[in-house]
Amino acid sequence: MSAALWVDKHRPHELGDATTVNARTAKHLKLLIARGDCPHLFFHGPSGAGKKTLALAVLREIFGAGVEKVKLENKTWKIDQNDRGVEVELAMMSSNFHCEMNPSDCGSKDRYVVQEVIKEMARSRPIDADGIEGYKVLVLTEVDRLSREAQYGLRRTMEKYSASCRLFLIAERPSKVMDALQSRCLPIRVPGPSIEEIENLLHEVAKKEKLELPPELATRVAQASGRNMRRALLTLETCRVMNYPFKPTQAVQTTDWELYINQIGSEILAEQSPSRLLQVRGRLYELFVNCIPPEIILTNLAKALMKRVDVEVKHQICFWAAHFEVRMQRGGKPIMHLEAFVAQFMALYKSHLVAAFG
Amino acid sequence: MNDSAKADVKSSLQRLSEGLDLSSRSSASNRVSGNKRASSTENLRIKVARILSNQHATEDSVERLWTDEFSPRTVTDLVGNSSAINVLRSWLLQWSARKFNVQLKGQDRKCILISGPPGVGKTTTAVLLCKELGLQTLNINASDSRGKSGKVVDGIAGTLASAVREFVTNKCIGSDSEQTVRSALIMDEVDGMAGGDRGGLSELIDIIKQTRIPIICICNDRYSQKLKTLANYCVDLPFQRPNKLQIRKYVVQLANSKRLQIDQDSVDSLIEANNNDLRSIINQLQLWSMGAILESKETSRVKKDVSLGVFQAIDVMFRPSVHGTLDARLSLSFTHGDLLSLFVHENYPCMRPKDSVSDLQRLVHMAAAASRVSEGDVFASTISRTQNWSILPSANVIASVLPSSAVSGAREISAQGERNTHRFPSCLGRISSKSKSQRLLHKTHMHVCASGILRTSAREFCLRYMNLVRRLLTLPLFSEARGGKELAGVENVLDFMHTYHFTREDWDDIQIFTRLSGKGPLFESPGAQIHTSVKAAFTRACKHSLSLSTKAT
Repeated sequence: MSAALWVDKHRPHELGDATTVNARTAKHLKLLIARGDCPHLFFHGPSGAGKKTLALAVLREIFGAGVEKVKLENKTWKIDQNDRGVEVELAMMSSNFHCEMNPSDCGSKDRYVVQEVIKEMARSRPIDADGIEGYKVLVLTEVDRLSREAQYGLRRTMEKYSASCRLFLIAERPSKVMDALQSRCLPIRVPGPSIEEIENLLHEVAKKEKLELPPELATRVAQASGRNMRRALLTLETCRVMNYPFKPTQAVQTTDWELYINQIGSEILAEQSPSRLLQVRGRLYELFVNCIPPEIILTNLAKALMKRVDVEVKHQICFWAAHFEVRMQRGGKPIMHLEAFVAQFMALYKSHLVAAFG
Repeated sequence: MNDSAKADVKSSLQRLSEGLDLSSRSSASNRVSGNKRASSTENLRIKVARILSNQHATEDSVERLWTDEFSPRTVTDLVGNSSAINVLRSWLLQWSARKFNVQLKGQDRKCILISGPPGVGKTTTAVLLCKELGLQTLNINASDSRGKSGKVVDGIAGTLASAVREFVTNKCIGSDSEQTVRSALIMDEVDGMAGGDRGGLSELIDIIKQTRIPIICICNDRYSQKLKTLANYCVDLPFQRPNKLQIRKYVVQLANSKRLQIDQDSVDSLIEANNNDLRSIINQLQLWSMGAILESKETSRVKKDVSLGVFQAIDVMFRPSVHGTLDARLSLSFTHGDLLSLFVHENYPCMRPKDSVSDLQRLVHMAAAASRVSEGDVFASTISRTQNWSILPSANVIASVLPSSAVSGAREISAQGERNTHRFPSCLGRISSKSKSQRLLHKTHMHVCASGILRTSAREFCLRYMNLVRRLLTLPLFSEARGGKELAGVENVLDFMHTYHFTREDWDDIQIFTRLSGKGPLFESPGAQIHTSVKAAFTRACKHSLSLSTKAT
């Protein structure tokens, strides 16, 4: 455990442990569990806010320490669709009391997962020592990335098996989860912690690790984190790996791919031409090979471009980024949409430059 | 000419009467359209009469298909591929003189594999040549053995097998001595064999190993995956379509004998329109002669209905054109489907639109094309998701036709020393390397999840953790950072790997999918900076600790 990353090492395991961040939510949840039964829960909030930590702490509150004895399975499910068999492979972490999976990993086959796999899971009811039938909890992550068909399927499953099975849904953006699902759950908003909260957290972790953390550095790390606890802690540890003892002025480490996207942004701003577009295409492919999700590339690229342009161009960047993000969600080949965004930006930026400077 | 023709007709009459129809079936299937079977002795008699009267076709004589009439009867009648025919002849002649060994390369193999597009006369050549050399042939066609019954046992590997085996190993067929080869086996359409008869190809190879007579295999696509093993046992003999000159000579000859007036240009356009397929050229000529109008107007209307290769198609797509060729472009995009839109996507930034004067205009055109390409992708994935194929025409217009017309013009190179030709879509290769690294990421993530400490999705793991993880895995091994104490760093790395259940392969995989190509310190592969001795020590330590942990469990 000593070699674990800080972000994992100092994760609260029980609802009572959550003192720095999300303390109020944790208290509410504790009261809820104390009442006995637990409804379906829907945790939503930005990345790195502590959704899953909360969900797992709730599980521990319900079932005790047994939920932490998990085993990992990579299961292949054979599903008989009317005329053809579909094979779905999905990794899941399960204990005696719960099962955790990410159905959106299956891509377009995700609806089979929610229809069949969950059904099968939910059918078997655990019985405790007193012979009282309990329930199992299914933790589904990244629900917002489920396809529409899968969400429809999930809706039915939730109603049918609610006696034997509770669902904990975890999603970043509630808007992408259909209303019918949301209304079947108790929604729990897990907001991103404020900058001050993150600062406090960083100091707390530094104290546990027996490190000298200059307050200036803590502030800068917290500000660079974008209210993301995970990011803040990982950044701090990266800083520690790169340079210790800390200096108040030392550079806050960002990830390589973020630097890379920023570099693409400055390349686009430096020159707008077809050959540059081809070059950018190569770079985008490179990011894909690094498993960076295309929507994140688009967001970061738009932000990188916006840093150094005039106000009227900024509006247009937002417009086109949103425009092509929608297409990206509906299409199949992200490179085409990212490239179209870059081409569109090049055209409008060039016309802006021509209008301004002739 | 008369004598040989007479002899030829005589022999074919004989064959018919004997009912020994071993070889004519193949020539019918390949060189001549189906109704050869219908050709009765009646027709043949007419033909004899006609040939005897020095081809003075009378007005009232029954018109026969010219492809029948002019089908080659001797090897010299064949158009084109003369060198390939010579190779085949010498191979057959020297067959018995050779000492065979399965491992032999080049000309000394026991089997020959003729490959080429349909209609160039592969089967006819084989049959005629065997006849010329006095070999009795057994012709086995893959489509014979499959077909209606659909039973796999009927194929080469099944009931036919014993017959074929007997045929190729029988010593008594050559009556005079063992040296002279009196028969040959022709295996037609071997590339069709793998689908229908399971085990057919391996049976065939087995037969090749045992054979005492030459085996001629015939296929269309020599590079087919199915024929990979077979090709190792065969002499390779590709046939090409006859070239324009050869065909022109033949067509002029034919027209003369039929007293058709046809000028050079019409012949050329005819040949081009039929894509050098002699059979369809002859058919077309006959059609014209029936209409008895052979004006230049008619021939100039010969429409080129040849499917273009995708590289030619993409050229047409980007070519600026004043005519309303939307239909032509649309049909091209139907022929090539999604691939064409990928080609358009790959190549549109390289085009300089014809009406763009300034750089800005060019960029605007380019952006328009890019936007259409992206919209086309939405259409394509909608089709594949909902199976609503009725929107395919619109999808093709948006994905291929519109973007290519937006930037239609001349192609330009973007960097020095680049070839100015349309490129194959790199997107396909990139997608496969992307899915490879996705797979590696998921594998690594699984291992990490098994440790039970990490509680995050693969996506977040890649985005946020990977940066730090990579540093923790490699930095302690750097010589500069440790000042000569890098071997001590191995312990740290191992400790970290142990906590998170990383394996040695994961270590390598992480280097693969976190590598960004480019210049500068950001892009240097950390694996390359580690000293070899340190790396070796690291690998050793990994093995050691792995064996310890397996013992413990």
